[in-house]
Amino acid sequence: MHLFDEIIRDIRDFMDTPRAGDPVRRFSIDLPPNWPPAGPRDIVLKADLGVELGGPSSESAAFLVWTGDPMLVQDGRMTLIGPDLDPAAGPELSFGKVMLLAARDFDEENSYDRFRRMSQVRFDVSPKGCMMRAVGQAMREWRRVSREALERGFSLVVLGRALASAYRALGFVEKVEILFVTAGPEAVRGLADIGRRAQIRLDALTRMAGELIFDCRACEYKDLCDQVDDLKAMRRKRMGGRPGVVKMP
Amino acid sequence: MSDQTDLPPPIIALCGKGGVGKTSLSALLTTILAADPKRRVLAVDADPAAGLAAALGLEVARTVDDVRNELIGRLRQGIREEGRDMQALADYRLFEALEERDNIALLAIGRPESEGCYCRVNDFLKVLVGELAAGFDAVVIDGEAGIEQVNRRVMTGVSHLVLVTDPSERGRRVAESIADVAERAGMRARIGLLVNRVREEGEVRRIQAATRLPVIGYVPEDEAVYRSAREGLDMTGLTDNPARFALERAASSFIGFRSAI
Repeated sequence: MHLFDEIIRDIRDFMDTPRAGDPVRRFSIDLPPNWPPAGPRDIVLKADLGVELGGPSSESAAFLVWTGDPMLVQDGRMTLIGPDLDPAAGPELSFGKVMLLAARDFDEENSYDRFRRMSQVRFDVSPKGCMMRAVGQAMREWRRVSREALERGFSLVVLGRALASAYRALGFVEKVEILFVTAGPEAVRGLADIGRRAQIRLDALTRMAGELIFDCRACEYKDLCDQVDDLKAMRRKRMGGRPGVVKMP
Repeated sequence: MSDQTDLPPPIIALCGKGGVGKTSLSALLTTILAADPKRRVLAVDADPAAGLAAALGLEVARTVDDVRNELIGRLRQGIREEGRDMQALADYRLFEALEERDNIALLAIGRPESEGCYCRVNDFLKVLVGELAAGFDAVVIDGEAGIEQVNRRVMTGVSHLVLVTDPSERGRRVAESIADVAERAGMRARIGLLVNRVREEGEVRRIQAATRLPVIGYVPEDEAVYRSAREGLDMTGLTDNPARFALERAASSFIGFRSAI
């Protein structure tokens, strides 16, 4: 599937664009997770807080994109634009996160289910002292990292290793690359602009997978589907060769 | 109360007739439990009068009812979401609705549910409030008069039901009827009667003689508590106070927590 290839190229441009004052660093996350999972009472309150990322009053942009072209993903690489989890950078940071995945054997039938499985992974990754709340459609991800976790060495690299391992466990994910942005609201807003374009494609995919009665003539995503080969192929499959309107099972 | 983190936290609901001092005692109990800085306490304001926030020195910006209305609004607009997406949104909003002060977080339930039956949304929220509560070391619920409202609107799984009464006959009867409802509903909570606003010990003896419920203690009438309640003041500063000491004695033996003092 190549639904997001153009967007992945834009993300790559975003990573490579020089920004005054914002360090761009690259790390390997191609190692097993090295942090214990959260226990049953691992809520992080403000009183325990080391750093808050992408909270309700900060900018936040988090999304995932995938491709069938493994060459587009730098496996095991994490790019960080901005400071790592350093309380000196301030208790609240804007937060951007993109999961770039190379995944095999996607087709018109399994794309939506696999997307759902991939989008669920972040809820299953719960390192001790790093609490998360997220709203997929709004592309918001809110993390609180406890002071104790920071003192023990928790960092975005630790989080990246845990995430990479969890995505690889899906089996059909071959490569995992992560972009984190903590450089400030403007940088995260720039990432959100790209994310919104990815979200429109996901919305079209979701619409096609979920509609009981699908009428291309009345669908707001028709122009997009006309342009994007994977969506076009999904539509053809759904319609079973009949033009115009299809009733989903 | 066990402080072992592998056990579910104690969930303590205070119920009783209106005006017997549930909110003041809920605020004091929250403060007592939170005196140990390692213990994170969730206070749930489930009383439509919504006085617990002020008693804890907090202001409420968003309630569970606001979250519910947002979810219902999305359904009415025809926004179709998978259950997991709705759950994630509700979970985000509930956490956003927490008002925090040190190791205390407050969740206000808001007004009783309005028109329409949105069982799916209500059930979601109840499960999520329960999951949120499980992240804390103790939960104190300032309930409405009856336990059935707590079960329906807040969460099930109350482990300790504190029935609050004043020395009046009416207060005791209401407490007993709440206990009847809880027992008929098969609640497994420990149930105890706490006598509030006691002016002389004879009042407690009269209640003890008349009730079948175990009396877990009594709290003396206290001018500072009464004034704070009347004026909607922050009660967290009432540390050196006879009412608080009495409540701590009763609660530590009933709930089984180690006192931080």
